[in-house]
Amino acid sequence: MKTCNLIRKHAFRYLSGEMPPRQRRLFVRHVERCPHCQAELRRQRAVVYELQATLPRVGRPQRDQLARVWGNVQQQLTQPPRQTTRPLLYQSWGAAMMMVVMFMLLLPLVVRGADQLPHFTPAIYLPTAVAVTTERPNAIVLSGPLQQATTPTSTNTPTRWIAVAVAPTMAHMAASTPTPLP
Amino acid sequence: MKLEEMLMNELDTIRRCLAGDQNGYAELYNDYAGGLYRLCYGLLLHRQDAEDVLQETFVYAFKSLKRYDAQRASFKTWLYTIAVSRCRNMHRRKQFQIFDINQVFDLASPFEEQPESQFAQQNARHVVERALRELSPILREAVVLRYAHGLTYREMAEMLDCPQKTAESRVRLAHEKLRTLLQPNLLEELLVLGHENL
Repeated sequence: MKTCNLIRKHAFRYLSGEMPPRQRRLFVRHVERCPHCQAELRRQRAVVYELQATLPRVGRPQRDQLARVWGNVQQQLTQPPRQTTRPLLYQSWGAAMMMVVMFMLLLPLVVRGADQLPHFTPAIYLPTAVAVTTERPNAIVLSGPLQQATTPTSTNTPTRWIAVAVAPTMAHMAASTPTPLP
Repeated sequence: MKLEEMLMNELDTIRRCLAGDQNGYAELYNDYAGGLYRLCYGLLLHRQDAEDVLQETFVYAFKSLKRYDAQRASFKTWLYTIAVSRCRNMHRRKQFQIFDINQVFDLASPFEEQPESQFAQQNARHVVERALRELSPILREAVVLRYAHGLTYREMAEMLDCPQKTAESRVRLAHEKLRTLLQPNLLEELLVLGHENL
């Protein structure tokens, strides 16, 4: 029975002519005596014949098919090469990474809504102004947001705004209310 | 014509193509288009896809003809390698499509009023095609290259980019699977064959 299993395993090698001569002789000697292996070999041979006879006929092209494809091939060969343009976004990894960072920064706004964010006073949003009064040079005031900035002097005192900055400023400085200096 | 002469002619044709002779391209196409189409059809089992891959293969091959190295492989092996790779890509793109309704009609049409022998041949072809569809793409490649194109295991290994033993075992596995798939259809044949010489 063990020999028969081996024969079944190696029948394909025998049929495709890949068996060394010595093995081949042993194989034939066994098959001549064993009806089971004869039947098995016959079955396998039939499959090989079937494939060898039929597979070369599968997918035979028709003349007009090949002519049509040839026309397309010629057309493609005569076309000038297309210039492939990559989308701006993907031109560099750097740009892509920047987009990811921007997205991550804006994600809380999208998820929770801008008005539901915890209230804080980001320094970078608050333009600060330095007001200098001409009459009282000591009254230099660090004001808060521009619209809240007031001068410590009376309304009649001419005040000249000398700088309006939107650069990052410390929050406590920006938010502080103007206090007159002594 | 001897094999060496044929190879020399082929190399000469390639040289002419590289020099800009358009007839050279046509000659190469006429020599290989039929075989390549059969290969593509055998692997994809779809007429339109096979045509598309045939076209892609020739366009790619002709555009990169400068890169062909006759020392490394024959022109046929080079072309077949390109086609097999294109077929794999196509198969990957199409793997989620279950079946094409046109294909069903294509299979049904040849049965109309055929002479008996022709009908039997076509019937056998359709049985084999149906069995091929049951094979995985890798096993199908192996069995088509071996039986439909008569390639040696060495050539197959070159084309499929695998060791020769792997190519052999793929053909054996495909053969085993096809044996079970084709078995019912081969009963008649077995009766006719009877006891043969080993």
